[in-house]
Amino acid sequence: MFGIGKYQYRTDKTYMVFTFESKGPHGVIQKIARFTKIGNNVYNFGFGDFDLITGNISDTVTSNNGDIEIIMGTLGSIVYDFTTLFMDALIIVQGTNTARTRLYQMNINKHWARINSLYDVSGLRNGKWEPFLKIVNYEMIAGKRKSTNDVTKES
Amino acid sequence: MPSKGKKVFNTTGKKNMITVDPSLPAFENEPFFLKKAEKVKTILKTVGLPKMIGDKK
Repeated sequence: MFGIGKYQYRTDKTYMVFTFESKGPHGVIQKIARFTKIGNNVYNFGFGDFDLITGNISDTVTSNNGDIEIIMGTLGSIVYDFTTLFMDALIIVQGTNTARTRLYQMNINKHWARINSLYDVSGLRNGKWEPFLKIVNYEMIAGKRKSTNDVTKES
Repeated sequence: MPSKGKKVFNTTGKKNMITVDPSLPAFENEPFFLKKAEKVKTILKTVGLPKMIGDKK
């Protein structure tokens, strides 16, 4: 999706969990994302590093594996696939801190034309939701697939 | 991450979409994800949902 690089990923049989491997100078790092249902058709999108030895998941470590563009492309593709299966899902995204949320937003900005054609996107600012604007920093971002989208055109 | 199960390709239209790994756990009660979700739920209780979710119903 969006014509950018991405890692191959896999999902569990509930389609709520997605994993892939980040590959770079610091080796192979297992990444895991999960859509956790928090309301009627509302899902929180969580993402972190999965430690295969301890079983712990963390989003506070900065892995610096030199592949952030590919990771972001992969996450975008995961959200796209999930919302193709669950068209009415509202996806909530919030980073573990302001910088992480900003990182997500920067990638939305970068691919805004494509994202805006597929999703209705809102940002939370000062306790209020508003239509997403590229120039504004948000505390939280929410997106929902536009109902008119023809998924079979995606490749 | 174990990957012993048979991988299955599901398709929507013409596009190979998702590789399903039946051996992958659902991480339903994983504290990391539960904590994140609870944090967001708490905020949403205060600010509500964006209007878009109501517009499509």
